[in-house]
Amino acid sequence: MRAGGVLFWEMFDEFFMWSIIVGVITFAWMAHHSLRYRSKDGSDDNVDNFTPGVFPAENDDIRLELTWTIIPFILIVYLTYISWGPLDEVWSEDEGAVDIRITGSQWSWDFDCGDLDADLCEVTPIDVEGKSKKKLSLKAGQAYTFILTSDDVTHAPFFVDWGIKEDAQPGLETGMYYTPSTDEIGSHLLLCTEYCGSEHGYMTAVIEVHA
Amino acid sequence: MFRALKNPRTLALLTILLLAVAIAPAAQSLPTGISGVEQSGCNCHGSVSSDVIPTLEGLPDEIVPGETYTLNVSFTGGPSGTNADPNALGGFHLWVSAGTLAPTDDKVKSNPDGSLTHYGESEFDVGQGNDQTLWVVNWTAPESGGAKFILHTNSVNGDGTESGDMYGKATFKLGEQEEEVRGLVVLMSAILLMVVITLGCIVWIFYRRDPDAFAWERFWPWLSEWLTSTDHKRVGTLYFINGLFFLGIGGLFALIFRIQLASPGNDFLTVEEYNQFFTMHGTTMIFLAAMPMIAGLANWIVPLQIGAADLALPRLNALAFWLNPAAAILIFSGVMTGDAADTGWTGYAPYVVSHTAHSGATLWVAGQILLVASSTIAGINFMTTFATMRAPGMGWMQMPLFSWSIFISVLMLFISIPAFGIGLVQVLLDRTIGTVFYEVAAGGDPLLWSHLFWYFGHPEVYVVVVPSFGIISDVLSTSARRTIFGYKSMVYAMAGIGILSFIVYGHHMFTSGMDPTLRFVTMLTTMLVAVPTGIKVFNWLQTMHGGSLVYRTHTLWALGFLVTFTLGGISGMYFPSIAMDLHLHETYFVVAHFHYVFVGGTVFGLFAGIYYWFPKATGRMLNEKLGILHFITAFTTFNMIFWPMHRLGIQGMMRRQHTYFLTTDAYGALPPEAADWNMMITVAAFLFFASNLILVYNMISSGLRGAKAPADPWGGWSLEWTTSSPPPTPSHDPNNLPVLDMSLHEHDEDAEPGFIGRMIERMMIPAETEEVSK
Repeated sequence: MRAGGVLFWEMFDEFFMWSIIVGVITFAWMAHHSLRYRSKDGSDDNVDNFTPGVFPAENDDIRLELTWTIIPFILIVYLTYISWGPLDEVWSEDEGAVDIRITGSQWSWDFDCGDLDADLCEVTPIDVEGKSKKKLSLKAGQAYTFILTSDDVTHAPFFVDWGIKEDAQPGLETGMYYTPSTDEIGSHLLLCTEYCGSEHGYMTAVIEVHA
Repeated sequence: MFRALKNPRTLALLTILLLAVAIAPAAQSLPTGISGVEQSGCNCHGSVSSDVIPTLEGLPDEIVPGETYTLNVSFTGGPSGTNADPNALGGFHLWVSAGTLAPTDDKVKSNPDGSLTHYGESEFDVGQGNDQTLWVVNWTAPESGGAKFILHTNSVNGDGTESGDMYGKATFKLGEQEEEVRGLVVLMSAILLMVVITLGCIVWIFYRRDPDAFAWERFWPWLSEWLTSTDHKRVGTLYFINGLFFLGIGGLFALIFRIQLASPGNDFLTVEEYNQFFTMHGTTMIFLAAMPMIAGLANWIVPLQIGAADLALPRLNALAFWLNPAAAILIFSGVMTGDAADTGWTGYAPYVVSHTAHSGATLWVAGQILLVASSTIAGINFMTTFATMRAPGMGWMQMPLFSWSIFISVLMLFISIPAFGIGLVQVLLDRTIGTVFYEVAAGGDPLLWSHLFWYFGHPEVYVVVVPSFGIISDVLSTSARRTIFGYKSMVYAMAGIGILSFIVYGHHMFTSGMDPTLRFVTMLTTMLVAVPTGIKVFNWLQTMHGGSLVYRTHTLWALGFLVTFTLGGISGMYFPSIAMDLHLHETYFVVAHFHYVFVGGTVFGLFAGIYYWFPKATGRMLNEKLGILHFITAFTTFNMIFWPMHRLGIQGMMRRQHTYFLTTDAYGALPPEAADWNMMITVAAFLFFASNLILVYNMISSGLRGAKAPADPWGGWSLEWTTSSPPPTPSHDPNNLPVLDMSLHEHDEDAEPGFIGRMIERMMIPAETEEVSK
């Protein structure tokens, strides 16, 4: 199981392709210019006649400058456009979602299933690297709304394999929405990703998705 | 070799080294230290469990030297108790720091490192010692001193797989113990060593500059002249030494916590130490290393470059500097207590005001307030200098790009830092006299600090990188023997970055629970940052077109900067896309990105600046061979450290965490090879640290003995190259200021200030000076 979730990888692959294109253009250009226009014998060939105290001759070309203002601008408009689409999916509840309240406190997670069936939501203890943590069992295909808050300082549950996280703030309720798919059946780690003190690195839980 | 020994200096050095070795405390690394329990000989399988309790019977109360004791190794708990397979019950691994261990029968065997384990070739063998829960061994005590035993026992369920197996670990100590290496002790010793080396260098420089006239009576007058100076060059040097010193300390923090992260489940640092170390690494690097180094370079070069005799307010300049060491002492007194701030460099409230935050956080906040004051004063000073002290003939649009970058950087800092200052004062009051600005229970807003901090924090990261843009512009243009391509668009791009920096900070808070509208708006604005940055990169590339690039050390650093900064810029494009940021936020992908920008951008730019302006500042050329060696080693090791972090971040390794988890049967986490990548990063980090010592050595040795530098060694055009190397004091004669020769632009309307230029002039300089004095 690779970390990040479906949505992340769709976006990442697209961005990665553009990164490669931009990177290749920039580095090929740089390699070409830095080798092609080097001083062949190491001697100082003062092309633009630099003289101390004299403001040098101009070197610009408005058409070129506009080219690399407008083309990157078009690219980022496109990238913004494709980043815009998934926001709905990230920020809205799926149909038939049930609520699970997650409360962070130094340094453990509390999952409150309310009156949901054990099939939909169940909390059991599990051993993570020698420390007793909680395991939250969820059902694949069921939409969930996680309502987050904190008892003391800021925490942030991070569902590593689903690529979502949101801060759990004291005095504030924040939300996260996810529907685990049948591809995600198995055990996943949940980490705390907002620094919260001594045991921050060990503030873990296990999320198990079953059919 | 023996001839070298006759040299008194070599002899003295060797004697000092021998003495140091003799008095150094006998220290020993934990067997579980660097490589973790799994690799240290215990092939334990399954998961660690507190249910499995190892026992070691037969240890004496007092050791009789040389005596042989018979010990019973055993354990209780775990699945062995209910195991149906009597041939596979468990195993053990016993290590001792002193004395010799020996098996008593064929159930136990010796390992090459002297430790003992149960007999058996593979971890799932049956019989041969796996069928026991009690093993008998002999231990011969050492001739002197105590000993420490580390025992692992494995409780097995006998199904032939790892799942369900458990292991436990116990430590037994006898007699006098040798000291164990502790991260904090290593750090303190290293800091002390650095202070001693720095003081030693100062004395050595004092001696070397005129060996014949050396007398201790002259030392203090010489030093106090430096300490009380208001000359921009001397203050600049002080800033620079301050910055380099803390660059080293910040690096030490990183090295120590990289040892902790070299393998999963490591216990080299306690969680408390680890949290302090990454906090202090960030704080030191940004506020005590990068900012002073930039201020140092700006102090040195700006007045020379714009043709001024000094900065506008020299005494304030010295004050701004001296607030820095004061702040450093405040912040580090927290470190010395062993209870330094553990809040992360962002110091998020409400954690920073909670009772669980370390007491050193109060000192951290107090020190930061002094730094805010220092930055504010320096900002006023530089803006005044730029507005009023440009040489005759130099309009705003004729300033060299390094000066422009400093102007934009201090402007950003000056406008953003009050927000940070206010937040810090509130936190200080909360922590000391019990106000409740950030106490959520009393109605405090949990997001207030994040807003105040990032309103400052985002411009701040541009404050430290924009000066490097200026350095690279000057260096690349001079090296390519071409005027910088698109001077005006370079200035407008920097100004654009400066303006954008204030409206993008929300991208640090995409997962904070901030209003989605604000998240969406900052997503759009953050994307825009790529446009001015792109203009700058392409302009730099085009500058080389048609030129005659002379390869010097600073040229290499500038090209290196272009590579790393472009990579850092590209990885930055992943964050404004909110759906991706939800995964990437707080992972090592972020760490990789900002180190590519901070180190690959700011620090590489500063290195280019050092190699470029060092001859001007000291009148001595730096050694080019050492410079090239420095570039090659630092550039390679830098990429070895930070490139793999992209991958680790995407795989879900989180920053600011004491350890990381590899995938086990119980849950999915990082893939097993993540441990190898981390080990490589740690090794590369040590190499990177070491390679930068080449620069320090080069600066000191070339500064004293290098070849004499001409006034304009690289053929640059700006006004600093019209002065002698090193420049006189005052830097330019106030009664005979240099005039910027605009003869190549006689028919150019732009030589006159344009509309914006005129508006700025009107705002900043009164048209009639007499009117003000009335």
